[in-house]
Amino acid sequence: MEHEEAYSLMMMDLDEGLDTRQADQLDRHLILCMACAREWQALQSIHQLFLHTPALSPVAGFTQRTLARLPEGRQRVWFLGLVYLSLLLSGVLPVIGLGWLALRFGPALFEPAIWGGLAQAAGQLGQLLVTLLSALWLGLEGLATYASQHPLLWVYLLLLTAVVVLWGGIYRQLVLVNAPIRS
Amino acid sequence: MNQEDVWLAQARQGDKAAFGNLIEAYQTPVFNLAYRMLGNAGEAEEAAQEAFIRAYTRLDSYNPEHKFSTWMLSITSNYCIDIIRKRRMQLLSIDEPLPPHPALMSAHNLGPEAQALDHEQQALVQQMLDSLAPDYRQAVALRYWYDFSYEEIAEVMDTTVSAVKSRLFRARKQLAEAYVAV
Repeated sequence: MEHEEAYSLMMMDLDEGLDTRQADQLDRHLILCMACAREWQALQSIHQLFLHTPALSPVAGFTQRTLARLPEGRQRVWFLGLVYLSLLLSGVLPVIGLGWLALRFGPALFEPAIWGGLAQAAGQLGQLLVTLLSALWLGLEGLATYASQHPLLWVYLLLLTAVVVLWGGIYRQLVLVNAPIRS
Repeated sequence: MNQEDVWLAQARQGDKAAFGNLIEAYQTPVFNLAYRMLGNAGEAEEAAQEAFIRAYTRLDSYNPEHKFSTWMLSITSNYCIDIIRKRRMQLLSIDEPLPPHPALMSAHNLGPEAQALDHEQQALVQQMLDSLAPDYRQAVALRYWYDFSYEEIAEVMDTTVSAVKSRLFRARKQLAEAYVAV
């Protein structure tokens, strides 16, 4: 008999028991094989040790501690129900809305007059944008010319910036530094 | 309908007192499995409580054709496996010596000498269990403290009977080698 086969018989003996023939087979092997005999002795010792080690109980008051942590079942069910319903509606409502829009306005989209009108409106919108941008450019150009002809304007702007920076620093010192720190 | 079925039916209706009776009845097996898996009384208490909370919130999914104990222990062992995985990810050592805890008390009233021997035996058994891989530890705990058949262990561990046999075989082999070495 091979060692592995003997080992399988040992396991069977520990869990289910062996019939007479199997027990004889194992005994014959154990007489001849000292290594297996030692291992069998170790296995039996461990088996007995584990079998006779009692189960551990939690510290007294476990039930009360656990009950105190139990969630409110009904509230939880309602809450989960609401979450699932809102998730469902957030997905379903837009789909229904889009479907309704497609059915309501879909046929009109295939009329050539609509597309012609849309193209004309887009062209007019483009022209309006071009006009606005040119006006803005002209305004900026005029402002730059005026500023280059009046250097005092630059001095005034610099003074204005310095005053803003100065007051900003004073505000930080007085208000923000003395503000209470949140824990 | 036995008492357990009555408690289960009441707990399903949100009766916490009825569920409290179930906790009272299963606290030792659940805590013991958590302790054998985690090797630490504090974590075992937390895991056992969490297992009961999960069971309570999932009572609707419990199939009465199976034993409640099997279902409960299945929840416990899955939660413990999750903790062991997280523990590994946090790179915490599980080889640290375990601190003594009042939970290390058997149900019996023992004298001081017997109690010392009992603690020593518990510590030795736990040390040996801790040396095993979590799935081996699980199989050994279910075999020895719950006297489960291979089929029941397979149900709790959500695996096959042959996998259970193989895990028990290897676990015992490792334990025997460690025992011989000592």
